[in-house]
Amino acid sequence: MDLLEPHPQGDVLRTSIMKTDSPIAVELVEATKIFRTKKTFFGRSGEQVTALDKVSFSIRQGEIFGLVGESGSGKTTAGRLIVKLDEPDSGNVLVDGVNLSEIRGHKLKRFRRRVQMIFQDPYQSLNPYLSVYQTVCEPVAIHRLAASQKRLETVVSALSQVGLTPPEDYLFRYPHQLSGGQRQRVAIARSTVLNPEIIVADEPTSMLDASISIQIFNILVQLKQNLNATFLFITHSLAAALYLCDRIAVIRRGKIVEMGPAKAIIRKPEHPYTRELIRSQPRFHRKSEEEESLRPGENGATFS
Amino acid sequence: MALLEAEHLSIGYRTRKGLLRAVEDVSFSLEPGGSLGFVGESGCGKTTIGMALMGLLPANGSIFGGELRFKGQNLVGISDERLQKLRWKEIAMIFQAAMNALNPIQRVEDQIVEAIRHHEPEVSAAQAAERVSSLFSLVDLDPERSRDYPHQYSGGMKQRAIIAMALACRPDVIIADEPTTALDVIVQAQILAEIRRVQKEMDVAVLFISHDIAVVAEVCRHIAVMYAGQIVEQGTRKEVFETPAHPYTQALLDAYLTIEEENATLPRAMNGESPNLAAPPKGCRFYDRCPHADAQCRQEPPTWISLSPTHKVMCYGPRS
Repeated sequence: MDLLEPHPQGDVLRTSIMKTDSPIAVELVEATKIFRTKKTFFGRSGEQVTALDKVSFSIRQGEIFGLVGESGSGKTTAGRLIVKLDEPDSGNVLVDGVNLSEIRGHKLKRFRRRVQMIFQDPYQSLNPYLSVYQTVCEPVAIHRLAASQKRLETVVSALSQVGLTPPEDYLFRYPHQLSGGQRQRVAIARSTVLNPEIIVADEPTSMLDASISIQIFNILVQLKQNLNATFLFITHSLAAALYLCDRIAVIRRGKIVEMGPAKAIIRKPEHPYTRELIRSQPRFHRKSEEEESLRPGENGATFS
Repeated sequence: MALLEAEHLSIGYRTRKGLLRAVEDVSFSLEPGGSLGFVGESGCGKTTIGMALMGLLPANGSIFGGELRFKGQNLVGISDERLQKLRWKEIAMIFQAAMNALNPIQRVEDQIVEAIRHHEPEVSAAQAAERVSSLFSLVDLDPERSRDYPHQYSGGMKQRAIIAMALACRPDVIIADEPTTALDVIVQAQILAEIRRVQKEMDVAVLFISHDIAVVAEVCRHIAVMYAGQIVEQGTRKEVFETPAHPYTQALLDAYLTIEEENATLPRAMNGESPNLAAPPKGCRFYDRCPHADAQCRQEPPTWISLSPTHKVMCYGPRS
């Protein structure tokens, strides 16, 4: 789909800042995903929720593309379509020009190696019964990426890439012995040990503290450079998108309302929803009249 | 007289690995109608302070040092009965998981009426219902919806109902622990505006707890930065956020990504993680992660340095 074309719904699309001719790695073409709730016990018919409504976007190879939206906007659903955890009800998802609906069998297994997902919650995405070594080694064994003697080496190098150093200290620990930040690093190592070409990172830091989030962001940027991978970065944070992404799409109720270079959208939002999002960001420098008019001795609180 | 005052407060949890010193030697005070924000990352002890104020520490937690005074009365070792009287009536709390704080099988109005009549038995059901309706208007909820069940509300509406409930007995202080963390930014902005407005209109003091420094900056005039169980810097919002003196406060501010930044390049990460509070380090607790640490910091814990009548920092060499 041509990004320059005016959007049929009058939503805002902009040209890419990526002047490169790098090929398109991932493409959603009018992808729609509808979830149906089950019929209730009393026979009330199930309801339909349109999680994605004819969503189209494309990500160029080596780009970090951000999908920004609030809870329930459909951003995670889009990510799940790209890694083929879900199938669209209509429309197409293409990876390197190949329609995912046509991939099955051994091709699917190869696809799984090339496309990886990092999940939101490292407290739930790791198997509590597997040690760090087992967790990171499992995909290596499944895809037979390294002979059994070389697996330890592969795991160790994946762990050092995500900053778990010295890796030997972590190999035989279990998730409950790790902090949230360390768990997310293990989850990232598990995804990246396969040298994937496309990584879908679904709110990888929303469960983590700010200082730990920065560590994880730095690792993702580093990985992007090392692997030359294409990223879909799913987030609710416009600020994180500004720092990390080349282009972003703002998604609301299953529809993209605005798409373009991250900086341009945040500096000059055109869609009312994007403006509202930006206005709602908490700020340090909000001028408050009360503070200006505070006289000494009138302070609300003091410290002893 | 300060409404709420903590002096050298220490709180610990008994665990299999020994006493976990979650809060150590913390002092602060909150004046009537004031607002004080505790910021810090997970595990720094901020929620423990809130829970202690409400007398809701889990069974293995206890205050093992210092004093906690409300209107001059020490809350440490107070009887459950007396505490029950204070709770909701004078000290109310807004919890993090708004969705879970309402009873799903009771109409919202009935829940608030029940809370009011429990603490003020002299109020009739009709009077209480009337009060609910005015509380609903105060927090921008349609009073018509008060007969709904919680599942008929959105997340933001539930949080507004919780605020209405907290205000129901006209408390002197509200403890708000991460009240907007589970909400989307647009709803968060509305709820924060609501808290600011309610605070002003009802002249209620607010003790606000959050990991999000910008959220605290929106609501509170005074800030206490916590790290590993201790307050490491305190001052007015302006002092702490515009002239942060503790290296941890500075790192926290650096790590906060805002869309206001002109040149959005990823800041350098602060290395490491918080120390284990079952065996806290001998010297400064931030030693391992501090870019300015020296031998002295390792040996001996730093003491308070006053930077202004309201601003102070617990560090040997505060940098501005």
